[in-house]
Amino acid sequence: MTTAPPTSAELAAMRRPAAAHPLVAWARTYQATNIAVIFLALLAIVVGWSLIAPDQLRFATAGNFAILSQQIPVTAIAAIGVGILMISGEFDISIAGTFTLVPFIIAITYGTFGWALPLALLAGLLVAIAIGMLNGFVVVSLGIPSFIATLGTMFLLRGVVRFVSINPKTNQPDNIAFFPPEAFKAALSGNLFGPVYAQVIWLGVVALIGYLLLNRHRYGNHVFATGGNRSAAIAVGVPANTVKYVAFVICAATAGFAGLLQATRINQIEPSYTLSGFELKVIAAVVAGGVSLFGGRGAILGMVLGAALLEIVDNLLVLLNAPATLFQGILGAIIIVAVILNTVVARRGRR
Amino acid sequence: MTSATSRENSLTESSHAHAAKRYRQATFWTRVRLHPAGPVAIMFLGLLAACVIVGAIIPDKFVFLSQANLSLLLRAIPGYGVVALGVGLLMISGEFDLSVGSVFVVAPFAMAYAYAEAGLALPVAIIIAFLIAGGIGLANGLITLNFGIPSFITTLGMLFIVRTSAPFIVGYTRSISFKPPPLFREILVGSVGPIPAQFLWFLGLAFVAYLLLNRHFLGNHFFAAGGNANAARFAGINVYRTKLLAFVLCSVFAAISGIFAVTRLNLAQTAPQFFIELFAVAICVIGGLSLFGGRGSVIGIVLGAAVLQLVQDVIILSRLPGFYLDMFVGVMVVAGVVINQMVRRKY
Repeated sequence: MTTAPPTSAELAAMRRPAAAHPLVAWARTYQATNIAVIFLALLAIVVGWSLIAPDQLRFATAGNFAILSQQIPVTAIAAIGVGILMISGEFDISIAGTFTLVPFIIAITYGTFGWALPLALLAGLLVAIAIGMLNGFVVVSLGIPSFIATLGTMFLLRGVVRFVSINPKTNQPDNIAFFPPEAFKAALSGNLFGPVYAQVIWLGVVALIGYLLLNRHRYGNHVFATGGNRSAAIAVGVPANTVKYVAFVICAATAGFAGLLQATRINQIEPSYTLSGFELKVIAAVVAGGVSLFGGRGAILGMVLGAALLEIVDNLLVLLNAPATLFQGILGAIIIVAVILNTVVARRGRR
Repeated sequence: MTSATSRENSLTESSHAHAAKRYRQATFWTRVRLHPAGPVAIMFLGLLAACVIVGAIIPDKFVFLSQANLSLLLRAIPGYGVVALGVGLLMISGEFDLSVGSVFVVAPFAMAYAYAEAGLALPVAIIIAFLIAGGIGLANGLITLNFGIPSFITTLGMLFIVRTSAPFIVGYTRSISFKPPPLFREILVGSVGPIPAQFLWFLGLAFVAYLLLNRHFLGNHFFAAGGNANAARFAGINVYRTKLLAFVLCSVFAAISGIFAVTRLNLAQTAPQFFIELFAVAICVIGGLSLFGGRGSVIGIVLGAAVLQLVQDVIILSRLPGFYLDMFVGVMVVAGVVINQMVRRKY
């Protein structure tokens, strides 16, 4: 008498340890679990430290939380766009240019040309869409690796920003003031209560839209499919090129919106921000959030938590009086370690 | 019978002659067009001709042909050019290095530190610089190749780690005055007649790179590893070791370029030199190197560096704002990749 050979499901069950609680099983497959654990651990340590030794580390104070609640959303909103694009298998390092140029256009058309605010916002949106389409065209239609293509548009956008912001007298780029109506400023970056500012609401809105798009809409399936295995996606009828075009536009739009939030808060736009390494920070946030650099894996919550993690690290360095450049070194280390971890996790998942 | 054979013979002969003629007619342009450095050579010659003609017609407004400008140009080309040689070797073997921007700063800074502050002998200081550069290259290679991570991500991270850790170790923003013996300075950055020594060094290093790439078995390995890593493996090439060597060489070239810069300025700083790595990649792409590896030439890198500095020079001479260089580089990188792709498809 022979026993039937085990089916593949049984084999898989044999290889795995005893079936875990459904919640644990869910957490194991959820793509933002790692970052959630790391984030909560860091938060616990930092909050605990600042509660025990409030003189040493002024982290858990209302003033500091107010700063964080204004800074985290800006990075996180840009990270959501870059993350969706990265899941679709592409990459954008031109976002610092978009982040600066879009609010710049809004400020110029509103302030200098005297357009109505909705019209100026529309102009900004169109510019963002144009940048996204340009990136999409170069990457998708010309077939150039997105890293190099967006490097090209990064230089291009930087040139455009300096071109439109140049002061003919000094021949240097100038900061541009942006004073929108009070109601607009309050809606975008006003104080809600205590240390919570309106940016947090906007982050919630963008994250919700991103979640619905990525996990509850056909487009999200297409994004994961395109990034996971492009030829398989095309074979089952996914319009992979259109998906990538749309992802580039989403990325440019979120970067532009993040720039607008920043500009309304500080009431000016600094052309030098194109050189600040913002794109590096956002990419670090996204890969730290568990999004695969090769596409096909990632979750909105991971991107948001990754951005929050980086902003908290940045904030800690400021509170500890560390030199500002140290943050960039930490960013570099976070990128390498996060990508190694993601690659290892993905390899284990495939097994 | 005989007549038929002779007619056949004459027919084949004439068609052979015809084919040979056509082949000879096509050969020069085909070779130029299909050579990796063909487009950049045409661009360089056109740009140079335009500059010379305009400079000769209006010498007052466009002082291109003046001694000062030409010597400035020849001094500027090696700056990015030497870095680009290393980046190009690595790109041909199929990988990227963005951390050269920090090696360019950190390795010569270590040399100046060892020589001026620690009081070591100059040769020892130079060896220290090369060891640091080689170590960074080795780290890049080990992380990239062992974990299978895209090299631009590894080296992007490394760029920022190295850039910030160096000032951190020596105590933040500092500059060290570096005063080597006059002979050393004369050999490295003096001038031979009207030609700056750096330029001759650049040509010499390019020649070494050429010998390595086209006249040494390692060059074949670089091309093979970049062109088709699997095929290279089947041919018995150790792709891992080849790429590791390319990473180290790339860093060493960046250190050499940095040593030239520090010797010329007599000053070593920890402040980052922005975007050298990106300009080096841009030079390679303009010079006809394939982004995917396996295709390129040293002459292309040299001409790419020359084109970039020519454009920079034109922008300065015509008093245009500096952002035109940014725009030019952005457009040229994308256009260069598109042209390289088209040429590759035609093959």
